[in-house]
Amino acid sequence: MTDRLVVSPPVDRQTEATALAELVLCENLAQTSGWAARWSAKISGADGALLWVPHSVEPLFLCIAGWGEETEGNLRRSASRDEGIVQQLLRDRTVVVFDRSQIRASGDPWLTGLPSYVQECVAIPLEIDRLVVGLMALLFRARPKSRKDLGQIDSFIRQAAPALTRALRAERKTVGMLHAIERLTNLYDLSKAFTSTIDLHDLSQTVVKKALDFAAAEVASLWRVQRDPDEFVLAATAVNERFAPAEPPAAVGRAIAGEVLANGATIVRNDLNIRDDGYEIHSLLALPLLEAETTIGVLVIANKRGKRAEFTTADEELLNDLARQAARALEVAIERVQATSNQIESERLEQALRLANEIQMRMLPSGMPPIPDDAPFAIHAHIRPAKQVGGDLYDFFWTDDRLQFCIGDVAGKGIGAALVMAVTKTLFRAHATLQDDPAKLMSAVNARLHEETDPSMFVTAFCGFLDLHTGRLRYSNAGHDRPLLIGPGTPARRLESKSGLPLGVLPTFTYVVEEVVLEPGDALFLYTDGVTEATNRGEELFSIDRLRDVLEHRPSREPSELIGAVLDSVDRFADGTPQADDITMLCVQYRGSGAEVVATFRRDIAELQDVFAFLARFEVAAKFRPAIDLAVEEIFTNFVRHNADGTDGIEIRMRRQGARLSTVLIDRDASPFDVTAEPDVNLPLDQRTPGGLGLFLARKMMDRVDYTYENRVATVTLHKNVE
Amino acid sequence: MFEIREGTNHELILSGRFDASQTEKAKRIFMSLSEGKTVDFGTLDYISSAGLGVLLAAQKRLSERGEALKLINVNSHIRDVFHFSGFDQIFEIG
Repeated sequence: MTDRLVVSPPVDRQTEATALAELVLCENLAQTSGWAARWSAKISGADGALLWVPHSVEPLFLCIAGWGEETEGNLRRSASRDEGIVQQLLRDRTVVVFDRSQIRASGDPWLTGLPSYVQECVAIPLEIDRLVVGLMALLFRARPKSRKDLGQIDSFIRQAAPALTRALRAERKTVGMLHAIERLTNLYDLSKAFTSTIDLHDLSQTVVKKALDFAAAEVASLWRVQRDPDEFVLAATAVNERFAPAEPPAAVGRAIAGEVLANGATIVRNDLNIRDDGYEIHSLLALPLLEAETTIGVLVIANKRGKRAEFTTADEELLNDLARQAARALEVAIERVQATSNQIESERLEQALRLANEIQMRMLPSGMPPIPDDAPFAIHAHIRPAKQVGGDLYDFFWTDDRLQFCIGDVAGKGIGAALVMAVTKTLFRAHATLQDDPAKLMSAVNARLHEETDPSMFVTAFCGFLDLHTGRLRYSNAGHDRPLLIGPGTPARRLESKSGLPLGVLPTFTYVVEEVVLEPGDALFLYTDGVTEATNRGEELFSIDRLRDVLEHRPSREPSELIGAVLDSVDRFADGTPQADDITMLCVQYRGSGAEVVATFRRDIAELQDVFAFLARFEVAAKFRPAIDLAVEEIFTNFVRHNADGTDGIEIRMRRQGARLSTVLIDRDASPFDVTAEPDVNLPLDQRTPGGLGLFLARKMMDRVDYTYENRVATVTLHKNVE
Repeated sequence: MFEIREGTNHELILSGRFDASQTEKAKRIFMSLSEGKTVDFGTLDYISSAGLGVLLAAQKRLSERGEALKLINVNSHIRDVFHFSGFDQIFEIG
């Protein structure tokens, strides 16, 4: 059906030279291809010419240039598939001549689509390096008489081919750029769509809708990986509106999503005939959504719409772009979901901190317990927790003889510190009654604390045992700021103290006990560094100097008054600056046991038991008790004996100030007697009498005995140091 | 509370507080003694001059017969009282 031609060298060098000179002026593919068609026709003497070039991606031949009548139709229709005659021409790469009868008979769309006047068509493949870069069709109204021109034209076209190829390549670059611009536009469109929402659910819906749109498919499903690759869930499905099966699938591609997850690669299938969840699938495109090399999801797109219904590499490329964009957007949305749950977590933490705060507050003495007015001490404490709970603590309790108190500061902040604070406080309370010495108490708490808490945790603490009768304060310091001692008319001074290691550092550390005697009226001010390190806007510290200054210039040393003054001063200093640390203060004032107890007894020896019971109300060390009882008994019985008929009772008053115990016995209807009478204790037995022995023993037992007698009122005062 | 009882070896055992309100019973017992006695102070917590007076009277009476009270297990406070009063010179304290 075709004639093979023998190509001869060109004959019209002049024409050819003109043509090639004109080629130089061609700037683009349209001009170059137009030039090629026009000169091919001129040189060959054809009535028209058409030029096809292959598409860069698709298996199509595009008609890009035409010269002569009726060629516009071909340019409009433009594309021919790579099949039939075209495929044959490309494969054989030889010049083929088709006459009218052959054209009609072929039934081939490429041939029959040529202008109707064509009696003969000469098809010439343009090749470079054995690659077909174009296909020229020379169109003749009548069969040429001679064939020699065909040799000429073949030769010319071979020379023109490189220029055409260059133009073609340049154009493709442009096309590629346009394509790139189109892709960028798509990406921009996607990124706009994907960033319009950060709600994970909405975003998933947007992704499947866009995927469906871009791929021109029926159904798209997004599967999202949960914690591990084996666990993935359907995030969203979109179904094309024009595609409305009776039962639209709820999802497609669970199985294929699993496969993509396993291999991490895109799957394109156009030869399927499967049913998935009652839905028939013939073509499928499944892509992993990769973020930082991790598959966070799979996009499954089913059934390409249209006549051919196949997913192409162009679809794959486009959807890969979409998948990349989608993965990033989804990751952001997921992070946001996690951030939200983190926020919930931090709210939980804050709740825990509030709880810690509550623990701290509950662990501390709630308010100030009632202390009798005549108690030999006054005490006041205040804690102001920082926003982020610190671990400050204090505690105190007392018996008739002793006031025990402690203050502490747990290193660190937050719930850990609060819990250590609770442990420390509990340990102090638990051991306080077991230990009669503050250093032993410190050692015991230290050992247990070390056992029970994190090694990095430590607590500075100061504890004191104040003897309420004597004002003697024994104390032990575990790395805490030394308390300030404020006496009447003396500057506030820091208590002398050898500082031991903080609690919880070294379990075997030996703490030492030190002591000072407080005079009635002296106040001891204990604090944590939250006070001295309170800051103002200029980040200055409140400092020990300011603290000392406040404490010294007070008219009273009453603990609540002192603490109130310091708080006011700190607040004025800070001026609203939030404080980083708990502010804790504990102030103890020793008042001396000046309280006097009074009782009156009948003038009767039988009253002695009640007298002893009365004396027992005054706590003194056991070793002093018989001496006091004896002295009182002797004076009492003397009063009774000297005026057995008297009507008034005998009054006893007792008072303790520091170490000094004074007991006064008053007889308001007394006969005078000699309190200084002194029996000779060295007399032999037969000369001894019991007389005068009682008063003598009383004087011996006491440090001093004073006696006054006036208007029948005899007053005997017994002095005894009971320390 | 003050008590006097006789122990297994015929010694007198004093216990509690021997104060001025407790002398009557003690007087009766001590003044009825016709021979020397060991007096156990081990459980005696307290004694005042009234108690000393009872012991002194008993010691004087016994000494006329060449007898004496011997005190044992005397605590430190009572020892002090005996010392201050010179009674450690007129009683044998074991």
